[in-house]
Amino acid sequence: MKRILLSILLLSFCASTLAAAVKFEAKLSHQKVEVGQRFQISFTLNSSGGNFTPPSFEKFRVLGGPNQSSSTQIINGNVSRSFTLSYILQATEEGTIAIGPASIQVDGETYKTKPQEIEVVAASANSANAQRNRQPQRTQNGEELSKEVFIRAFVDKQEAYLGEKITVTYKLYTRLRLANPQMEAMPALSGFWHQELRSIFKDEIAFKQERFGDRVYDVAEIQQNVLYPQRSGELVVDPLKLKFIATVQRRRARSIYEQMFGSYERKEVIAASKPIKVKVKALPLQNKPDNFTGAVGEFNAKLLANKESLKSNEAIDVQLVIEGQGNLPLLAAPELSFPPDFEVYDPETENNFKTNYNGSSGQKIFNYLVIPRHAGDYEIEPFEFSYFDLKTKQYKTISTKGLNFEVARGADEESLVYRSNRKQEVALLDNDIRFIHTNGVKILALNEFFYGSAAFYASIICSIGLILLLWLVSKKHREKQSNQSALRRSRATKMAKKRLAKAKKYLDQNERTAFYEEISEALFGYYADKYSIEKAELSQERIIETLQEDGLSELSEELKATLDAAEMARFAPSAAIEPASLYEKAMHLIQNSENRKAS
Amino acid sequence: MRNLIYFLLLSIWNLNLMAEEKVMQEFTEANRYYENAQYDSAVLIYNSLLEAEYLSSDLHYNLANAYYKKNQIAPAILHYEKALKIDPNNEDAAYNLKLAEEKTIDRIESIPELFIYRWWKTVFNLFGVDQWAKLVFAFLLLSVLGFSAYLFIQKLTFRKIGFYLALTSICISLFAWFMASRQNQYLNKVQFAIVMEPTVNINSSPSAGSSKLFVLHEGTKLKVEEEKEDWYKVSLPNGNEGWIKKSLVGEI
Repeated sequence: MKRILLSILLLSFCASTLAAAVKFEAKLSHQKVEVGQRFQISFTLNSSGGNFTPPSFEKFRVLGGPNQSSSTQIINGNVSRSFTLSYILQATEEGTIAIGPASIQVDGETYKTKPQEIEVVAASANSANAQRNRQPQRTQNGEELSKEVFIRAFVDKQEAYLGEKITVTYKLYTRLRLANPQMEAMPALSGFWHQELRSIFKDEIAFKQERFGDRVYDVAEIQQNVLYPQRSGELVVDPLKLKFIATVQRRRARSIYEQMFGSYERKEVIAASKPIKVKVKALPLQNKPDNFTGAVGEFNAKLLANKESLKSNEAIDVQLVIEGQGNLPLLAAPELSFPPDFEVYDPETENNFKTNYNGSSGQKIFNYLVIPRHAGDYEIEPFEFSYFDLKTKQYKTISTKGLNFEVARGADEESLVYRSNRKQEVALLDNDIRFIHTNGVKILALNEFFYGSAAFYASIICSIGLILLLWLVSKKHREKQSNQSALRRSRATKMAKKRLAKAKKYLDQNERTAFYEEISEALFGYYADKYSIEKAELSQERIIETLQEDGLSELSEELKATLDAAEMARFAPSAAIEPASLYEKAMHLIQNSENRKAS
Repeated sequence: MRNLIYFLLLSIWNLNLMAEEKVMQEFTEANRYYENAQYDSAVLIYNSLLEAEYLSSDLHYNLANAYYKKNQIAPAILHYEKALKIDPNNEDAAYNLKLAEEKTIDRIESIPELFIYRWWKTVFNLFGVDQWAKLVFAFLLLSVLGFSAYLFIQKLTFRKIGFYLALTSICISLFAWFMASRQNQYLNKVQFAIVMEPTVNINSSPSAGSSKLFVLHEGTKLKVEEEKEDWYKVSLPNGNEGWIKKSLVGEI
């Protein structure tokens, strides 16, 4: 609870200090001043701010400022800061003059001072202010003297095209003896390109007598400029303002001596011309050539080169000469269409023209240094130059002749090319090419190609024919073979039965060896015929294999047993094998095989 | 009938043989000039042989060498390229071409080719047209062999081997035939051109008045895309395209 109270207190304190804080005031040192008297205006802020904007002091002369000062005061623990900006002003006009508010920003908020008023009264003759400041004296006398000494500006035309020459002449009119001219304000002549033709500071000035109004003056042209308008619209030819020391006769003599002989004093005189407005017309957009770059006047163009045939890497000087009258000083080097292979250096410009009252006339020469890097026939296309003709008020395009170059191969062309190569391949360049082929060379007449030749197609046809032939032969062979095997198959049973019958006979005669032989023979023979097995390949294994392949594995085992038994009995007669049962078995086997075949 | 064919073939062969002898004589003579550093004479004879419609990778290669020695890089490159076109395996031509290309002015970054295209080119350039044609024949013979094995051998394994041999050989043979025809087409069609003049302009359209796109120098290889009257539409490895007068380039 206590804490909350404390913070509320603190907050309200802060708020009150903040609310009271910002104070921005203006203060004048005098409320009433004489013409020419100095006074001070100060703006004080009791905080720190930014973005200060002073009021306008256009009715005064600002002699000094803004001067800044800041102070920090601590009184009874209260810190007060103040920041002051001050100006020293001089009154130049009589009357009550208002000074507008000044503004400043503090923490994003803008504060303004109250507007002030100051009363300016005419200066009393002997006032200290009048003594201190020569300005009013000069002004007073100046008003009188401006009838005696002044400058008039003349232009040769009030209306001009963009880029058309205007000449401005400043003439000094005087009835006094003047000395020690000083430039008070140089004409800025913004919006014009200008060149000084004559100046009082550089040239001899000759005075002539001339009547202006009802008085005769000594008149001299003190300044002459040639102007080329750079933008269209209403442009102002700025006044020329000069300061002289004039020798003036005193009106009131200070002594008798002076009354008799007249008294002279030296006074500063400021003479200024009035600004002149000139109307600058834009160039017509209609029919404006694409390559128009702002040349106005009357021109001619030539394209020249110092050589026509040369070697590569030799330099050529190509000259573009623009000749005539107009805004020559403003012409920039045009881009010529050089062949892309040319190395072109920035052109050098030669100004071969004079600028006088009538504008600039003569030649402007652009020197292009170009180097063809490679051999070949090159052409520089004719250069087209467009300008605005002031006489006809129309655009004109003139064309130069084109240039042709024959560039022969220079001795150093290649070495130059090598440099661009990568290092690795430069190393390769040291090597010579490989030698020509002399051995094993085959030179063919164009019609000697194998591909597409009769031989090619013949060989293909022959090969295919050969394949067909082989196929036919094999087919025939196979037919023959299959006929043979059919014959053998049909004979197989017959043969087997014959053999078995023979075996039976042997058995009856008790010729055991012959019997077994005949049994084996019968079985072998039967299966050989049955399955068309060649004699050379005939063996027990082969037969069993063939039977197994035929899906007769049962039969094959029985056959194997029978054949083994027959073999055993043949070579080991002691073996207890019943010859009769062997015969039965063989019979049974052949019958089974036959049945199998039949089914 | 058969005798007549034999006689005709023999007589043609004989004629060729006689002509070949003469050609070889001239070729050897040119080689001798080259060896004695009389490159102008060598170039003359090589060129006369080429004009007489003789074709040989080696002939182009030797001619290119002579041009190279005369420091005429553009024709040297042209004939190296021709030598390589006829025989893609002419290694010496490939090597010398690389040297000659180092002497050209234009450096054009090439866009890397698709790997499939590179493989295709490797296979394509494996043999020249006649080599492919001979392969056609060789594999046909092999297939005959395989086929006869299939037909006449009793043993199953051999028959199987023979069958697959015949099948693959026929496939390879057909492929080789296809390659030979492609090579033949490639040989007879203008595929590339070499800039022969020191400096040439590439125009935007096939007329002399059209705007110039870029400049090329002698020895630069251009791909011929299209032709129209005396103009070729060409493209560079970096993808730039334009038209050039036929008279300014040498066709490969």
